[in-house]
Amino acid sequence: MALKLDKYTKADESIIQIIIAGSLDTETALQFDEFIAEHVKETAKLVVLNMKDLDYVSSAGIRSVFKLAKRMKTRGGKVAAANRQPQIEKVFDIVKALPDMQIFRDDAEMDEYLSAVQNKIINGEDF
Amino acid sequence: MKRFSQWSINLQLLLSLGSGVAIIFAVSLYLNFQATEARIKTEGKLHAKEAVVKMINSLVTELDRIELSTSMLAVIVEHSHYSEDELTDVLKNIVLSNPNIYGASIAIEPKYAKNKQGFAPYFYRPQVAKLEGSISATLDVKPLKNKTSLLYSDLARNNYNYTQKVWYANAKVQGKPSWSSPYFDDGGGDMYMTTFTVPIITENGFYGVVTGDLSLQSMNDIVQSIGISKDAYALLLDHSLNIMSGPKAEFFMKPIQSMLGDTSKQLGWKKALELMSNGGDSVDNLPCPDQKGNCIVAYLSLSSNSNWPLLVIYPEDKMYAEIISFTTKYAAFALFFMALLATYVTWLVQRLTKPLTMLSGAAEKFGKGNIYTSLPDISSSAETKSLVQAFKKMQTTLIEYIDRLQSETAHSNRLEGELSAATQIQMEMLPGNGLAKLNFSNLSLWAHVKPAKSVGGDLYHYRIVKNKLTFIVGDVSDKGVPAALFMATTVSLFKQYSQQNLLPANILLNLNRALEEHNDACMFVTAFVGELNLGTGELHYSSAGHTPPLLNIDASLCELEQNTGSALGLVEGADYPSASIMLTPRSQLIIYTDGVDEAFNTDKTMYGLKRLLTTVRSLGVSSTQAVGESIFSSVADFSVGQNQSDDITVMVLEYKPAFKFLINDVHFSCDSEHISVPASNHSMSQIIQAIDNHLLASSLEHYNLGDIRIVVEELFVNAITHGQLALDNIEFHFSQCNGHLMIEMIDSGIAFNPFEESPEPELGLNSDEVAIGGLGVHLIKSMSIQKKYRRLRDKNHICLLIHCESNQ
Repeated sequence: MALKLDKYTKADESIIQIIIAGSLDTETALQFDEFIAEHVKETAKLVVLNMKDLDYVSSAGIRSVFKLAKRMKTRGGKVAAANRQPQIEKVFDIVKALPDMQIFRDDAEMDEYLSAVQNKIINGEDF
Repeated sequence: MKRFSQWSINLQLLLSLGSGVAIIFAVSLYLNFQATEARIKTEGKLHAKEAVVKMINSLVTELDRIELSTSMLAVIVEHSHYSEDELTDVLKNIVLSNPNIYGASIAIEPKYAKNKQGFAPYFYRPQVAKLEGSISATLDVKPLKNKTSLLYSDLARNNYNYTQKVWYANAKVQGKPSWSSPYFDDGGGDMYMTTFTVPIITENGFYGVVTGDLSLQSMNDIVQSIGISKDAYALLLDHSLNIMSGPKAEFFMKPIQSMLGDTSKQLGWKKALELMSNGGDSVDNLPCPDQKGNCIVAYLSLSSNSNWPLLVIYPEDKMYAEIISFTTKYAAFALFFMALLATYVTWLVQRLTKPLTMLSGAAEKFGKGNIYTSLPDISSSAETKSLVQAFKKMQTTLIEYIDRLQSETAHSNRLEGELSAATQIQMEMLPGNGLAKLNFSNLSLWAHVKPAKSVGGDLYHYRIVKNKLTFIVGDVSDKGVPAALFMATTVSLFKQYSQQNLLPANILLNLNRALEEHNDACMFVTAFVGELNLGTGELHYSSAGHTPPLLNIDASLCELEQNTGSALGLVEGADYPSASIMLTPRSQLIIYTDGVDEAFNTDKTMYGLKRLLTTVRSLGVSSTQAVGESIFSSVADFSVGQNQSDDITVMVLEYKPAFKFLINDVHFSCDSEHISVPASNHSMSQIIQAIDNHLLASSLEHYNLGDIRIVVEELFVNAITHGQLALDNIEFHFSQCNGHLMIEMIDSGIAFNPFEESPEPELGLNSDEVAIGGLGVHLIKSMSIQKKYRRLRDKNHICLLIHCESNQ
């Protein structure tokens, strides 16, 4: 199964929303890693993984998410996940993934948070 | 084109007879023509000569008569002393009494006459009627008024001066009788004539002449009246070869050369004319004077005082007309005869061949299967009669034969029906009616017997008692019904002994004892008996003269070592060595009868053990059914076109102690389906697809393929990543039961038990501390209900039980 990736940036690429669609597995994890390396700049403060159309994730996919989180953390940034389907949530739960990762149940929740964060970044505050 | 011998009899006869008869006719016609032609030529010449002679005789007689009368008158004048008046009367009487004399005269020297002008009375006949086409037609004559009356002319009258005339003067000079050349007389007759003149010589010298005239018309009448033949004609010539008498008036008194035209210049005619003028005679073949072709020309001079040549001319083609006419008639007759012959032959042939045609028609019906067709009643000839009789005999024999055949066929059908029932009964004695398939969690068995005839002597049987499989494969000597009966006995006995918890060697011992008793026919059976402990894989076995079975362990194939005893039923108290072996999981044992390796092809080559080993090796890891069926099809392909010479039996059994799970008192084992894929990430979708298909075909309404996919992927990736795999495939076995899926992965990587050897990952850490290893194994553990690992024959076996049913 294929993986499709898109990104939306806000506030000078400080906030990056990556839309993951399809399957994040052994075969596609590298594709995800490369996409991150290319599009997530040093300036990024927040990466939101929109998993609305992500149907499948394996341990390889989880590992890629972990690597992204670890990298963002060392820069003082954050990773958040939104719109996880039940089977994705189940896998994340099994591995007890990232207690510090912000989770948005739906777009409204995510938009509300992102507006707030955007304001804070514009005002030069921590979020 | 058909050869002559293939033509119809009618045509053959017509051609043979027709050509024969035609040849006979042609030859006879030719010979006849030749003979007739020669005869006609000879006879023609003879006939011509005779005609000339005859004509000359007639002419000479006529001339002689005139010569005689004239001579007699001359004597009268010379010796009598008649007065001139008396002489005149005598003269008149002579002319009157001789109708052929045209005229006669007495002319004496004037010095002896009373009158000084002389004495020359001339009596002559009035002119005869003009006859067209004759010489007389050219003469100017006066009609005769009275037949008896004569005309008188006194030649001594002043203006005639008879003494100066040729006939008088010549006679006076010559002094002997002679005929004059033809001349035209103007003295009284006024016509052509010739005159016989007799000079009268007295002692005083020349006294005068007596003449007798013959008109050329009279002579011509004589000549032309002498019949020769309708196509022949005569020519009378004078000394100068002028024509005095002939068929055409235009040549009268003209030289014969004028009539001959150019032909007179030819050598033949030149010679002939020369001969004629010299008084010669001959018969020659010369060109015809006035027409084409040759003529027979006969000529002869008149013998009397005249010596005139007479010719008789026969045109040859006219002579041949007869023979040609005859030949034409003969040929017409020949044709008629041949037509008659053809009609007769056709009638005869049809009459002769009609029975054959009728017989042929009957034979055709016969050939179409109507063997009861009635044959024609023929009594025409002995040959056809005997042919019909032979045919009738054949018909009778054939009908009898067919009746017998039908009865035999019915009998054979009945036997076949009985045999078919026997086959069924025999097969029913064997588990699975001759084709057994067993698939247990720890055992797979496939067995099949294929008799060479309706019934056979091969057998197999098995029985599972207390987790032990006891089995037999046997081959009775001989084939057919006797072998089948012996086989039935053997199977019954095996069923009995296999229940008594005996080791294979003891089973054989008992079987031998039972079969050997009352075995007067000396039948025997070779057998292999084994007992497999399904829990431990231990196989006890014993052989009674049977071919060693093949042992297939991971496509490594060899013959099972065995010490065999004698075949069952032969030796009283025979002993059977016992042997045992531990079967490893997935081992296959192939037990077969000699119908396999001793199968022959059309070249009389034997199938042999080598081919059997090659066939099994080429299959790799295959199910018992696949192995068994491949052996059968390989043997069938090998001996195609050759009847099966012996019964064939193959039993394949596989020991496969499987993982087992016990969930709520239900045993699970994953042996229903399997897939073998290359050790590559790309094979994932293939495995998932196979499992998906398996679940789709199951009774589950909803199932969770996502969880299954994660487990399979983690297992697979783990094996590829850590197993250091060679190029070997990875096998997946799976089976669904009661909403649970059991998956077993078998790989040939290094020994590795992920459930014990993988480090437990530390979970629940935040982003900065999170560990990225061991997640896969954790997912496997978390998502499966039960899991097992074992290392078998250098392979890792990981088996999982997953709950796969979902509510939606």
